[in-house]
Amino acid sequence: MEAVVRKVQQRVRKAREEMDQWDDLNTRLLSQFSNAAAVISRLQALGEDKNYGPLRAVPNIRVDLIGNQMEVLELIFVKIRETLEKFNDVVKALNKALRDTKQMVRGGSALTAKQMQLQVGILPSIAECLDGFQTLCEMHHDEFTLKSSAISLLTWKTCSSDIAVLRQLLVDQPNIPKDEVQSIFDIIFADEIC
Amino acid sequence: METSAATPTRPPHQAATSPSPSPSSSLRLWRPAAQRNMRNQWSHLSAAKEQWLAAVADGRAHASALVNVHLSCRNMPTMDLGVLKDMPGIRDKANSKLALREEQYSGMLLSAYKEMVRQLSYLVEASHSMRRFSKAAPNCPITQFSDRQDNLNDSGDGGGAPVFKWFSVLEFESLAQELVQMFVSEQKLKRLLLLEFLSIALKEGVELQTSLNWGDELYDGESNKLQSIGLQSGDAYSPPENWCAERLGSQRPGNLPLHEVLQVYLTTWHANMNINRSRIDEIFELVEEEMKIKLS
Repeated sequence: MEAVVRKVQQRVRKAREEMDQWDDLNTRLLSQFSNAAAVISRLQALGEDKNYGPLRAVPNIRVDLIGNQMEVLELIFVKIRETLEKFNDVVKALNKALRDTKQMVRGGSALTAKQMQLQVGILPSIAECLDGFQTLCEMHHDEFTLKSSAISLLTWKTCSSDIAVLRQLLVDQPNIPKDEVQSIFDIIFADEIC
Repeated sequence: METSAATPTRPPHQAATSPSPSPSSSLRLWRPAAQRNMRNQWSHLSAAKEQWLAAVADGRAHASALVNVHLSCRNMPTMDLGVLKDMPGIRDKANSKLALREEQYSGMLLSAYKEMVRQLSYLVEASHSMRRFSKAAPNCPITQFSDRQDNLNDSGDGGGAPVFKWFSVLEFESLAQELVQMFVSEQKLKRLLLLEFLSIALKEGVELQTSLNWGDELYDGESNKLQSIGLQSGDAYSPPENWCAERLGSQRPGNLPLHEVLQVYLTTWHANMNINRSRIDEIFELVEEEMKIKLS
């Protein structure tokens, strides 16, 4: 029984490396988001002819500049979508790791519900490990869904107050509360803490 | 590599029978000199283009610093200074400090512009130096080539022969011209922006003149430099013909540009709208492919 727990811990440890990428990706996403927000916030001013002063002497300047900024924005959106795709990769990797781990537990000699719940010393039970792992996967999956929809709300027409709200959502990552993640790890790796 | 044998694009006997101003033997001598020169000029173009873009990026940083200082200067009378507000003359001191910084940034912006003009002059110069003329040296048996036209019958383009594989001098020149034209248009737009940026700093100062006009010389020697590269004819630098002249002077003196207006200026500076990067890359790829060298 102890050997199975050790194996599950091993799997979770590997999955944790995937999760470590998450914060780096979020930093990248936030910086791309800020770039997009900067362009969007300029667009209104760029749209008004009166803001061009003597630049109005240059033919088509307003149309050209807006066209240019829309192109810039489109490029940022492409980069943002790439980053989202990387988040999705992490989610997929976590789900696969979870599936494989469950498979591994089931694949061995059939364990009774009691054995699943069995706690040896300070080691966690298999059920605890699997539950914790599952919760982590769900958190990241839900957060990915949230990020995707937040990003889909960001367009060139988004007003600045909405942008601020969306940005805060991306910063907060409400589906992945740090303390809850920590307590899950504390349970799964209970024997390593002391 | 540099011998004519490597690029047998025109059989010698054919050239000998044609009434070309460059008979086969002189074409054979001309080609290595022309190739060497062509490589040099295009590597100058490549370097100057990079330097010009770098100067624009510097200029952008200085311009946004200038705008930020200018805006804090303008907000100073209403700024909440908290506990500092009781210090005697605090606003005046802060203001004079900001004015000094404004002056520094506009100086730096002007230097960036100067550098842009300089790099543009290299671009223009290189685009005009693609021909190689044979040097009239009657006492010397070795044919030499130079960038100066001694003989009016010598157009310096090897009679239109390909310099490397396919492109004639004329074709290289028109690619270079297309390139230079982008930088020239953008430079004019940048100059208009520069006038506006420098004017906001002037308005704080004590000078009588409250704004700069297109015709003003922005630094000593600007006019000469622009003349030397053919951007200015005569004493006055006239704005591009397709610009609307009345609107150019439409700013009311003494009226400070709004925050939004400054934002438009900064965005325009940054956008490099006349510089079509993908076309530039395409041109350099074409040329590198033709010359079989890497320029950058």
